[in-house]
Amino acid sequence: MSNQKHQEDKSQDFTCSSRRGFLKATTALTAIALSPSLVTKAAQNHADEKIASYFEKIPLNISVNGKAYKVETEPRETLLDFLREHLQLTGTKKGCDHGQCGACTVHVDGKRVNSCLTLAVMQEGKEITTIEGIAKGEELHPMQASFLKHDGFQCGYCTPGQIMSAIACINEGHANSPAEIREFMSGNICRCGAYPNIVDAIVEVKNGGKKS
Amino acid sequence: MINFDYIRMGSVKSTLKALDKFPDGKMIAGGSNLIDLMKRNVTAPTKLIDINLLPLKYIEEIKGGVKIGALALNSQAADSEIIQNKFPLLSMAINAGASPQLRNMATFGGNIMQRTRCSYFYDVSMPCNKREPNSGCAALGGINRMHAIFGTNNNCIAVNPSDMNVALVALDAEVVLSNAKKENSFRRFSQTSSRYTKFR
Repeated sequence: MSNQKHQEDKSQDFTCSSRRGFLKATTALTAIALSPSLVTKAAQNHADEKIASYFEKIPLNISVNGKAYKVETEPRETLLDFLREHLQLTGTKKGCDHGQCGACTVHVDGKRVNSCLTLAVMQEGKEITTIEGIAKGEELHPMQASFLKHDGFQCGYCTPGQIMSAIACINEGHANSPAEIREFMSGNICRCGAYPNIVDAIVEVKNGGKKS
Repeated sequence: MINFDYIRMGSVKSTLKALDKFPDGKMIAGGSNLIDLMKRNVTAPTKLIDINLLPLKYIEEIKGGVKIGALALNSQAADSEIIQNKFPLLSMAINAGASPQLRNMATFGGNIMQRTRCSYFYDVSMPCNKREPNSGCAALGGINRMHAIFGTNNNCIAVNPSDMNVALVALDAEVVLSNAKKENSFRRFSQTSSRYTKFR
């Protein structure tokens, strides 16, 4: 009984204001509960810190959505994890995490890339733009507005990647016909199958707001 | 992903020295193939040697052809006017592969050197001579409908995954290689690729 009460007290220490916060908190509790005594011992002896300091964190200067960051990051952290976990920019989505679905698409120095297949440390001095950085205050980016107008999504999970890719597709000059748009948007998969509406949205932005 | 040491190189010479010094190290440029393999535990280098700062991003016209640096991006090559005018096959072959995002990351050298997509190479619970020399080849007696018909041997029937490489063989391209001792050596691409795809 006392054990249960102790747990209840402890759970109140975590303020679970959001779904993410709740998941983080519960996962941490489960990990503590499940860890074998050896691991707990190692943690008490700060073995984890020693290991971490052995694999030194690397200083990183990076600009994200026009804001400069001076941080330290583990070499193995991907740009996607860095954006989502460190900067809390969770608009960029993790889909397959293997560069096949395009949900993680961001712009690096204006070029669209899969942020899941590049390391944060490799972006030293680079300018990153994510879906959070394209609107001007309350005014949506034309591509965002066009996706809304043409219903270019259903569940919306692929949408941030689709929009980042679509902006780059036009900037690259690969949006001259619906066929070319389909070919050069092939790196973004939509499981709901909103492709016809996505193409319509891009065609409208390409033509400066006029329909095809 | 197992953690690793990360160093950034500034010159070809220092990179070659670092590769000699750290046999477990691997070069990283675009990372689109290597990071995928590291996430799947197919490879676990202890040191990553970032070569993105090396001056190898050029695409320039030379007598009788075009010279492409190992760090030129796939998209840069496919969109290059020189290549579109002189070797449209190469531009088309590059655009036939991967996605626009990946082609913005993947480099020319990386495309040539990318590893096979043989499912047994990716499955670390299966033997694979490419992943672990002398462990055997699971594809020989496995599901191998999509594997090579020509140019195979008893050790490996994996195919080279690159669309671009097919065009390079057709165009009879040459590869210029450097190592710590020798500055430049020339090889015909068709010979280089078969040498590298068999056992590495």
